[in-house]
Amino acid sequence: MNVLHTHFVLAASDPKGKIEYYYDEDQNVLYERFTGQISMTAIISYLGGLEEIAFRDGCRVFADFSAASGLNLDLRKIKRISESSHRITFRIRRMRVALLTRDSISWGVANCFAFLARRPDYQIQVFNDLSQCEDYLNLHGLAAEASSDLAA
Amino acid sequence: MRRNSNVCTGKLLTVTDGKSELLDEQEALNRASQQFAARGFVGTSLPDLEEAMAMDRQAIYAKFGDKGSLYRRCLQNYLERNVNPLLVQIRQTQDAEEIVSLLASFAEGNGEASTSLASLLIGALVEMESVDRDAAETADKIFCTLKTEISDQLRRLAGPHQLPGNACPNRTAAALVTALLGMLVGHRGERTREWAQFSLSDPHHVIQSVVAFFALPEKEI
Repeated sequence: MNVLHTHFVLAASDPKGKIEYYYDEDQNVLYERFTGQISMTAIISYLGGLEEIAFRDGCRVFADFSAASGLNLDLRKIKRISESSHRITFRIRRMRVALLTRDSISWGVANCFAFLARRPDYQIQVFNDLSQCEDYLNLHGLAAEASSDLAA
Repeated sequence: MRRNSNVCTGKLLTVTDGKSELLDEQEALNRASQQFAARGFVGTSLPDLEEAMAMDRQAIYAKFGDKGSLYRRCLQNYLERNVNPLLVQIRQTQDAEEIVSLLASFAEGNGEASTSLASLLIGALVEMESVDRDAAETADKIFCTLKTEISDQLRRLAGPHQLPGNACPNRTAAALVTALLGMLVGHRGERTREWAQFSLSDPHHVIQSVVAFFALPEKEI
Protein backbone atom coordinates (compact mmCIF):
# COMPACT_ATOMS: atom_id res chain seq x y z
CA MET A 1 0.00 0.00 0.00
CA ASN A 2 2.37 2.70 1.27
CA VAL A 3 0.17 5.53 0.08
CA LEU A 4 1.85 8.01 2.39
CA HIS A 5 5.23 7.54 0.72
CA THR A 6 4.02 9.14 -2.47
CA HIS A 7 3.28 12.37 -0.63
CA PHE A 8 6.62 12.89 1.05
CA VAL A 9 8.49 16.08 0.18
CA LEU A 10 12.28 16.14 0.09
CA ALA A 11 13.23 19.02 2.40
CA ALA A 12 17.00 18.64 2.55
CA SER A 13 19.43 16.33 0.88
CA ASP A 14 23.15 15.79 0.44
CA PRO A 15 25.24 12.73 -0.42
CA LYS A 16 25.23 11.59 3.20
CA GLY A 17 21.62 12.05 4.24
CA LYS A 18 18.20 13.50 3.65
CA ILE A 19 15.15 14.88 5.44
CA GLU A 20 11.64 14.32 4.10
CA TYR A 21 8.25 15.28 5.43
CA TYR A 22 4.56 15.06 4.71
CA TYR A 23 1.87 17.08 6.44
CA ASP A 24 -1.52 15.40 6.41
CA GLU A 25 -3.71 18.46 6.71
CA ASP A 26 -6.94 16.52 7.21
CA GLN A 27 -5.56 14.49 10.09
CA ASN A 28 -3.32 17.32 11.30
CA VAL A 29 -0.35 14.95 11.43
CA LEU A 30 3.21 15.77 10.41
CA TYR A 31 5.35 12.81 9.32
CA GLU A 32 9.10 13.34 9.22
CA ARG A 33 11.82 10.98 8.00
CA PHE A 34 15.51 11.46 8.71
CA THR A 35 17.82 9.22 6.70
CA GLY A 36 21.60 8.86 6.85
CA GLN A 37 23.84 11.43 8.47
CA ILE A 38 21.93 14.51 9.52
CA SER A 39 23.64 17.74 10.52
CA MET A 40 22.34 20.49 12.78
CA THR A 41 22.35 22.91 9.83
CA ALA A 42 20.14 20.60 7.77
CA ILE A 43 17.64 20.19 10.61
CA ILE A 44 17.46 23.93 11.29
CA SER A 45 17.04 24.65 7.59
CA TYR A 46 14.26 22.08 7.41
CA LEU A 47 12.51 23.53 10.47
CA GLY A 48 12.70 27.00 8.91
CA GLY A 49 10.76 25.67 5.92
CA LEU A 50 8.02 24.33 8.22
CA GLU A 51 7.21 27.85 9.40
CA GLU A 52 5.16 28.25 6.20
CA ILE A 53 2.73 25.51 7.25
CA ALA A 54 -0.33 26.46 9.29
CA PHE A 55 -0.41 23.64 11.83
CA ARG A 56 -3.56 23.49 13.90
CA ASP A 57 -3.99 22.93 17.62
CA GLY A 58 -3.82 19.27 18.56
CA CYS A 59 -1.15 18.60 15.91
CA ARG A 60 0.63 15.24 16.13
CA VAL A 61 4.17 14.70 14.90
CA PHE A 62 5.83 11.43 14.05
CA ALA A 63 9.57 12.03 13.68
CA ASP A 64 11.28 8.92 12.39
CA PHE A 65 15.01 8.78 13.12
CA SER A 66 15.18 5.03 12.72
CA ALA A 67 17.19 5.31 9.50
CA ALA A 68 19.35 8.18 10.73
CA SER A 69 22.97 7.44 11.50
CA GLY A 70 25.63 9.52 13.09
CA LEU A 71 23.22 11.88 14.73
CA ASN A 72 26.11 13.06 16.83
CA LEU A 73 25.01 16.42 18.17
CA ASP A 74 26.34 18.03 21.31
CA LEU A 75 24.11 19.82 23.76
CA ARG A 76 24.66 23.27 22.28
CA LYS A 77 23.57 22.05 18.87
CA ILE A 78 20.58 20.26 20.35
CA LYS A 79 19.67 23.51 22.11
CA ARG A 80 19.80 25.44 18.83
CA ILE A 81 17.53 22.87 17.21
CA SER A 82 15.07 23.06 20.10
CA GLU A 83 15.01 26.85 19.76
CA SER A 84 14.26 26.57 16.04
CA SER A 85 11.58 24.02 16.80
CA HIS A 86 10.06 26.32 19.40
CA ARG A 87 9.53 29.04 16.79
CA ILE A 88 7.08 26.70 15.07
CA THR A 89 5.48 24.97 18.03
CA PHE A 90 4.96 27.81 20.51
CA ARG A 91 1.68 28.85 18.90
CA ILE A 92 0.23 25.32 18.71
CA ARG A 93 -1.70 24.01 21.67
CA ARG A 94 -2.01 20.35 22.69
CA MET A 95 0.85 19.21 20.51
CA ARG A 96 2.09 15.62 20.76
CA VAL A 97 5.39 14.43 19.34
CA ALA A 98 6.84 10.92 19.04
CA LEU A 99 10.52 10.49 18.23
CA LEU A 100 11.45 7.05 16.91
CA THR A 101 15.10 6.10 17.29
CA ARG A 102 17.03 2.90 16.72
CA ASP A 103 20.59 3.48 17.91
CA SER A 104 21.90 4.66 21.23
CA ILE A 105 23.39 7.90 19.97
CA SER A 106 20.12 9.03 18.41
CA TRP A 107 18.34 7.91 21.55
CA GLY A 108 20.59 10.03 23.78
CA VAL A 109 20.26 13.05 21.49
CA ALA A 110 16.49 12.63 21.23
CA ASN A 111 16.10 12.46 25.00
CA CYS A 112 18.16 15.60 25.48
CA PHE A 113 16.06 17.32 22.81
CA ALA A 114 12.83 16.18 24.48
CA PHE A 115 14.09 17.56 27.76
CA LEU A 116 15.05 20.92 26.26
CA ALA A 117 11.82 21.23 24.28
CA ARG A 118 9.61 20.60 27.30
CA ARG A 119 6.90 23.14 27.99
CA PRO A 120 3.28 23.05 29.08
CA ASP A 121 0.84 21.76 26.48
CA TYR A 122 3.60 20.06 24.50
CA GLN A 123 4.01 16.34 24.96
CA ILE A 124 7.09 14.66 23.56
CA GLN A 125 8.34 11.10 24.00
CA VAL A 126 11.23 9.04 22.69
CA PHE A 127 10.63 5.48 21.49
CA ASN A 128 12.48 2.62 19.92
CA ASP A 129 9.36 0.77 18.91
CA LEU A 130 7.13 1.79 16.01
CA SER A 131 3.96 0.33 17.47
CA GLN A 132 4.47 2.31 20.68
CA CYS A 133 4.77 5.46 18.57
CA GLU A 134 1.47 4.62 16.91
CA ASP A 135 -0.22 4.01 20.23
CA TYR A 136 1.12 7.23 21.63
CA LEU A 137 -0.04 9.26 18.62
CA ASN A 138 -3.15 7.18 18.01
CA LEU A 139 -2.16 6.66 14.37
CA HIS A 140 -3.33 3.09 13.83
CA GLY A 141 -0.86 1.85 11.24
CA LEU A 142 -0.13 5.14 9.55
CA ALA A 143 3.22 5.61 11.25
CA ALA A 144 4.31 2.19 10.04
CA GLU A 145 3.27 3.15 6.56
CA ALA A 146 5.28 6.35 6.75
CA SER A 147 8.30 4.76 8.39
CA SER A 148 11.70 4.76 6.76
CA ASP A 149 11.83 1.04 7.21
CA LEU A 150 9.19 0.67 4.54
CA ALA A 151 10.52 3.46 2.35
CA ALA A 152 13.82 1.68 1.84
CA MET B 1 22.56 28.09 73.56
CA ARG B 2 22.18 30.69 70.82
CA ARG B 3 19.72 29.87 68.06
CA ASN B 4 19.84 30.84 64.44
CA SER B 5 16.59 32.02 62.86
CA ASN B 6 17.15 29.63 59.94
CA VAL B 7 14.40 27.07 59.75
CA CYS B 8 15.50 24.19 57.61
CA THR B 9 13.74 20.89 57.01
CA GLY B 10 11.39 21.77 59.83
CA LYS B 11 14.11 22.16 62.42
CA LEU B 12 15.68 25.13 64.11
CA LEU B 13 19.37 25.07 63.50
CA THR B 14 21.78 25.85 66.25
CA VAL B 15 24.87 27.86 65.42
CA THR B 16 26.90 25.82 67.86
CA ASP B 17 25.89 22.55 66.27
CA GLY B 18 28.09 22.65 63.19
CA LYS B 19 27.38 19.08 62.16
CA SER B 20 23.62 19.30 61.98
CA GLU B 21 23.87 22.65 60.22
CA LEU B 22 26.07 21.06 57.56
CA LEU B 23 23.66 18.18 57.03
CA ASP B 24 20.73 20.52 56.71
CA GLU B 25 22.58 22.76 54.27
CA GLN B 26 23.06 19.74 52.02
CA GLU B 27 19.39 18.87 52.23
CA ALA B 28 18.45 22.49 51.50
CA LEU B 29 20.72 22.51 48.44
CA ASN B 30 19.23 19.24 47.23
CA ARG B 31 15.75 20.66 47.50
CA ALA B 32 16.72 23.89 45.78
CA SER B 33 18.39 21.87 43.01
CA GLN B 34 15.21 19.89 42.46
CA GLN B 35 13.22 23.10 42.11
CA PHE B 36 15.67 24.61 39.62
CA ALA B 37 15.80 21.34 37.70
CA ALA B 38 12.02 21.09 37.46
CA ARG B 39 11.19 24.74 36.75
CA GLY B 40 14.41 26.26 35.42
CA PHE B 41 16.11 29.29 36.91
CA VAL B 42 13.65 31.90 35.64
CA GLY B 43 10.63 29.73 36.41
CA THR B 44 11.66 29.16 40.02
CA SER B 45 10.32 31.86 42.30
CA LEU B 46 11.51 32.78 45.74
CA PRO B 47 8.26 31.44 47.28
CA ASP B 48 8.96 28.12 45.48
CA LEU B 49 12.38 28.00 47.09
CA GLU B 50 11.05 29.05 50.49
CA GLU B 51 8.53 26.24 50.46
CA ALA B 52 10.90 23.58 49.10
CA MET B 53 13.75 24.50 51.42
CA ALA B 54 11.50 25.16 54.42
CA MET B 55 13.34 28.43 54.92
CA ASP B 56 12.12 32.00 54.76
CA ARG B 57 13.71 34.36 52.26
CA GLN B 58 15.80 36.15 54.89
CA ALA B 59 17.27 32.85 55.92
CA ILE B 60 17.96 31.89 52.29
CA TYR B 61 19.68 35.20 51.61
CA ALA B 62 21.69 34.94 54.81
CA LYS B 63 22.78 31.40 54.09
CA PHE B 64 23.18 31.27 50.30
CA GLY B 65 22.91 34.83 48.98
CA ASP B 66 20.57 35.79 46.16
CA LYS B 67 18.91 33.36 43.71
CA GLY B 68 21.88 33.44 41.35
CA SER B 69 24.30 32.62 44.16
CA LEU B 70 22.07 29.81 45.35
CA TYR B 71 21.93 28.40 41.82
CA ARG B 72 25.71 28.46 41.54
CA ARG B 73 25.99 26.76 44.92
CA CYS B 74 23.67 24.01 43.66
CA LEU B 75 25.85 23.49 40.60
CA GLN B 76 29.04 23.50 42.65
CA ASN B 77 27.45 21.02 44.99
CA TYR B 78 26.62 18.76 42.03
CA LEU B 79 30.18 19.00 40.80
CA GLU B 80 31.67 18.12 44.16
CA ARG B 81 29.29 15.38 45.19
CA ASN B 82 28.52 13.67 41.90
CA VAL B 83 30.89 14.56 39.09
CA ASN B 84 34.21 14.70 40.89
CA PRO B 85 33.91 11.19 42.36
CA LEU B 86 32.99 9.92 38.90
CA LEU B 87 36.07 11.61 37.40
CA VAL B 88 38.31 9.99 39.98
CA GLN B 89 36.86 6.60 39.12
CA ILE B 90 37.29 7.21 35.38
CA ARG B 91 40.98 7.99 35.88
CA GLN B 92 41.41 4.68 37.67
CA THR B 93 39.90 2.53 34.93
CA GLN B 94 42.05 -0.10 33.31
CA ASP B 95 40.17 -0.65 30.06
CA ALA B 96 37.41 0.82 27.91
CA GLU B 97 34.98 -1.77 29.17
CA GLU B 98 35.44 -0.46 32.68
CA ILE B 99 34.60 3.10 31.59
CA VAL B 100 31.44 1.79 29.96
CA SER B 101 30.46 -0.04 33.15
CA LEU B 102 31.20 3.01 35.25
CA LEU B 103 29.01 5.36 33.19
CA ALA B 104 26.25 2.77 32.99
CA SER B 105 26.31 2.35 36.77
CA PHE B 106 26.23 6.12 37.19
CA ALA B 107 23.17 6.32 34.94
CA GLU B 108 21.24 3.54 36.59
CA GLY B 109 22.46 3.83 40.15
CA ASN B 110 21.46 7.34 41.11
CA GLY B 111 17.75 7.26 40.46
CA GLU B 112 15.52 10.29 40.67
CA ALA B 113 17.98 12.45 42.58
CA SER B 114 20.55 12.06 39.85
CA THR B 115 17.92 12.78 37.22
CA SER B 116 17.15 16.07 38.91
CA LEU B 117 20.78 16.98 39.08
CA ALA B 118 21.39 16.11 35.45
CA SER B 119 18.38 18.23 34.54
CA LEU B 120 19.86 21.05 36.57
CA LEU B 121 23.13 20.73 34.71
CA ILE B 122 21.54 20.74 31.26
CA GLY B 123 19.24 23.57 32.29
CA ALA B 124 22.19 25.58 33.51
CA LEU B 125 24.01 25.23 30.25
CA VAL B 126 21.12 26.15 28.01
CA GLU B 127 19.17 28.62 30.12
CA MET B 128 21.78 30.50 32.07
CA GLU B 129 23.89 31.69 29.16
CA SER B 130 21.79 34.84 28.85
CA VAL B 131 20.90 35.07 32.55
CA ASP B 132 24.02 34.29 34.56
CA ARG B 133 27.30 33.78 32.75
CA ASP B 134 29.06 32.40 35.82
CA ALA B 135 26.49 29.65 36.24
CA ALA B 136 26.61 28.82 32.52
CA GLU B 137 30.40 28.66 32.64
CA THR B 138 30.30 26.39 35.68
CA ALA B 139 27.96 24.02 33.84
CA ASP B 140 30.10 24.21 30.71
CA LYS B 141 33.16 23.41 32.77
CA ILE B 142 31.47 20.33 34.22
CA PHE B 143 30.59 19.07 30.72
CA CYS B 144 34.02 19.80 29.29
CA THR B 145 35.83 18.22 32.23
CA LEU B 146 33.75 15.08 31.98
CA LYS B 147 34.28 14.86 28.24
CA THR B 148 38.00 15.59 28.48
CA GLU B 149 38.58 13.07 31.24
CA ILE B 150 36.79 10.33 29.31
CA SER B 151 38.58 11.27 26.11
CA ASP B 152 42.01 11.33 27.79
CA GLN B 153 41.39 8.03 29.43
CA LEU B 154 40.20 6.47 26.16
CA ARG B 155 43.32 7.83 24.46
CA ARG B 156 45.54 6.30 27.13
CA LEU B 157 43.72 3.02 26.76
CA ALA B 158 43.87 3.17 22.97
CA GLY B 159 47.64 2.77 23.20
CA PRO B 160 47.49 -0.76 24.51
CA HIS B 161 44.75 -1.46 21.90
CA GLN B 162 42.00 -1.59 24.48
CA LEU B 163 39.75 0.78 22.56
CA PRO B 164 37.75 -1.03 19.89
CA GLY B 165 38.60 -0.54 16.23
CA ASN B 166 39.50 2.94 15.12
CA ALA B 167 37.22 4.75 17.55
CA CYS B 168 38.14 8.41 17.91
CA PRO B 169 38.52 9.21 21.64
CA ASN B 170 37.18 12.78 21.33
CA ARG B 171 34.05 11.89 19.40
CA THR B 172 33.43 8.78 21.44
CA ALA B 173 33.74 10.77 24.67
CA ALA B 174 31.35 13.46 23.39
CA ALA B 175 28.82 10.84 22.35
CA LEU B 176 29.19 9.02 25.66
CA VAL B 177 28.45 12.21 27.59
CA THR B 178 25.37 12.94 25.45
CA ALA B 179 24.16 9.35 25.81
CA LEU B 180 24.74 9.53 29.56
CA LEU B 181 22.72 12.74 29.84
CA GLY B 182 20.03 11.29 27.59
CA MET B 183 19.72 8.34 29.93
CA LEU B 184 19.66 10.53 33.01
CA VAL B 185 16.98 12.92 31.79
CA GLY B 186 15.15 9.99 30.20
CA HIS B 187 14.49 8.68 33.70
CA ARG B 188 12.10 11.50 34.45
CA GLY B 189 8.45 10.60 34.84
CA GLU B 190 6.63 7.33 34.73
CA ARG B 191 5.55 7.73 31.12
CA THR B 192 9.08 7.96 29.85
CA ARG B 193 10.04 4.99 31.92
CA GLU B 194 7.18 3.05 30.46
CA TRP B 195 7.91 3.97 26.86
CA ALA B 196 11.67 3.89 26.88
CA GLN B 197 12.20 0.69 28.78
CA PHE B 198 14.61 -0.70 26.25
CA SER B 199 17.29 1.76 27.13
CA LEU B 200 16.56 2.44 30.74
CA SER B 201 16.59 -1.22 31.55
CA ASP B 202 20.10 -1.59 30.22
CA PRO B 203 22.26 1.54 30.34
CA HIS B 204 25.29 -0.70 29.93
CA HIS B 205 24.09 -1.67 26.48
CA VAL B 206 23.44 1.95 25.54
CA ILE B 207 26.90 3.16 26.47
CA GLN B 208 28.59 0.12 24.99
CA SER B 209 26.84 0.55 21.67
CA VAL B 210 27.98 4.17 21.53
CA VAL B 211 31.56 2.98 21.75
CA ALA B 212 30.89 0.27 19.19
CA PHE B 213 29.26 2.79 16.87
CA PHE B 214 32.37 4.92 16.73
CA ALA B 215 34.49 1.90 16.15
CA LEU B 216 32.82 1.20 12.83
CA PRO B 217 34.75 2.81 9.94
CA GLU B 218 31.72 3.06 7.66
CA LYS B 219 29.99 5.26 10.19
CA GLU B 220 32.86 7.70 10.56
CA ILE B 221 31.48 11.19 10.85
